[in-house]
Amino acid sequence: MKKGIIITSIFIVIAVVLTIVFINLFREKDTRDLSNQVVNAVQGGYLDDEKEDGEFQKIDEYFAVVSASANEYEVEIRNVQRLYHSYVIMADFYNNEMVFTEFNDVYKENKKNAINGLNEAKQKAEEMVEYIDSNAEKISGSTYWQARTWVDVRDMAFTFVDANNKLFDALQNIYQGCVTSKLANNDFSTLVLKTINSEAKNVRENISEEMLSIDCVVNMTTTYLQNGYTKIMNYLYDASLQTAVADINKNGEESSYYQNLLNGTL
Amino acid sequence: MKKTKILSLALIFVCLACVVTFAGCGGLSVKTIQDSMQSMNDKLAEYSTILVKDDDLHNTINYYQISYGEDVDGLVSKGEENYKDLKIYNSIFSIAMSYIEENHVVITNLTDEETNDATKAKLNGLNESITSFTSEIGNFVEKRNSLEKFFADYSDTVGEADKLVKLREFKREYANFVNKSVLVSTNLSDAVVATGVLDDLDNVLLIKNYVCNKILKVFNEFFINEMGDFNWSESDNSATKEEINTIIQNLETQFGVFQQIVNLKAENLKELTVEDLNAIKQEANNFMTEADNFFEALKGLDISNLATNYLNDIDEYVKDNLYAKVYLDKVSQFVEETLPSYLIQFNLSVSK
Repeated sequence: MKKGIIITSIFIVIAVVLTIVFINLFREKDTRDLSNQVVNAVQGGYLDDEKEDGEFQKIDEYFAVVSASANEYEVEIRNVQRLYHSYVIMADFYNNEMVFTEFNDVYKENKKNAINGLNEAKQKAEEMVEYIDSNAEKISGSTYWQARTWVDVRDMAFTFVDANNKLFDALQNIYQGCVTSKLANNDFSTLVLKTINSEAKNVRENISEEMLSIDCVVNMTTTYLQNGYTKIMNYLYDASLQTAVADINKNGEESSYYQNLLNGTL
Repeated sequence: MKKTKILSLALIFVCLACVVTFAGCGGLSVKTIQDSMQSMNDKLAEYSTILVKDDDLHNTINYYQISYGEDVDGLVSKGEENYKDLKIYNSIFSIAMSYIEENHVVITNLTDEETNDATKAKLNGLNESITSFTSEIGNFVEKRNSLEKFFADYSDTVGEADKLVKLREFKREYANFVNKSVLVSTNLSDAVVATGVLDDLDNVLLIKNYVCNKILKVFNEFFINEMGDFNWSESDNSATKEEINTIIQNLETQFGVFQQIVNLKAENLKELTVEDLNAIKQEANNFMTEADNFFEALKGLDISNLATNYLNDIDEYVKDNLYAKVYLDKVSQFVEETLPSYLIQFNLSVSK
């Protein structure tokens, strides 16, 4: 009897050890969970600017209509709209690399924030579309009623911006910490992505003001993140660009190259 | 008695576990590699009338010149669709063999005392690949002879479709043959790196060839493994097909640029310091890390599946392969931007 208990206990211990070993072997070791959500947002979701009658096109059209009518809110509507255009470009950029990231501590630390930001932004986009669809008459009506709709939409829009800023902050951390290719992930890409995020937050904090920050976000996303992001991919071969980046990293806004970075002319 | 049986069984399992665990730890002797290389060279010499080697063209894409019989050679020379691909197969094979023949002495001249654990591990892989390639040589020649005979006997009597079926059968064998030669050159390169002999080397030609051998995989993976096994030209027309055709054309252009670098002789190369060469090797490593993403994207895109089962309609394909567009974008970006930029940079770094 005693021998039986000892042998059974040994087998239980072995079984527990093997279970722990196999759980560790087969638990999430890849980054598909997040990259699936990003790709779904970019292809057919709220970050797809090509989908006919999709969230982006409906919301963008709404912004275009009400910014022309709601004079006192024109600046903030245009700021949100231009941020949204930039988010689409940023999402496309990250989407191109997310599937090639490696699973590590940085990914684990930032994944939740990325997914939360994405889900919240998605929800707000859906709410805005629902509102737009339910108030189509007002939106195609007089300028007074168009302006009135913005009062209903603006909180959704601001939360939408906050959620996207949270998403792209997390994605930037993941990009920097988990993209293994030095051609794609280098000091220049880090500088560009961090600066875009910082300027986007600046826009949000001063959402109702005319600011250069929104121009910076637009310039940097269109110049550095589109069309194969050539400047980023060639950074390691470009000594003069390396000099400029080193200078900006050392001197920040005091750098003589900083304005070029913001203008997209670095 | 029962206790004894249980203990005996446990002891047997433990012993087996030890044997299995430690079996991989022992490395091969250098003599084994020398013997394997000799067997490979003997086999190649045995078929030297088919695998024709021109020693004057060492380290060029024409080092080996394989003919496929008068009929097929004619179609290859004319640039006939599907047949012209055999030129690229031949070139890739030549480059791989050049590298093997030039660099195997780094390994075969070692003594067992000089091989560290890292080298020993690589020697195992190298030996396996040499043995596998050697055993494939005779099979490849047989298939090549079969192709020649088929065209000689039936060229005038069978239709184009039957000829293409025969060609595709041969191309599958040829792909296997070339892949094995490339694997030998890759494993040899890894073994050479493990010896540390490249660390303080200021031989520009050797480093240039080492990097070219790495880059070779890009063309091998695309032309032979991705596009080799189906009739791409006859697949359905679409915007996606146009995009992929652009990729193919660009990659063919880059292969031409790559060939020029491969063909550079010592007198055409700069004099560089060890530091310069280490920087070149680092740039090559950076490039190959991005190339790994390209290989992953190629595999994920699976062009033959797109063409055969989705009629080159990427929007339909995406419904079953969520990342198809991402993969296509990565392949396009790599071929049209990353690879050309790197080859320009590499060429500038090494050539006068």
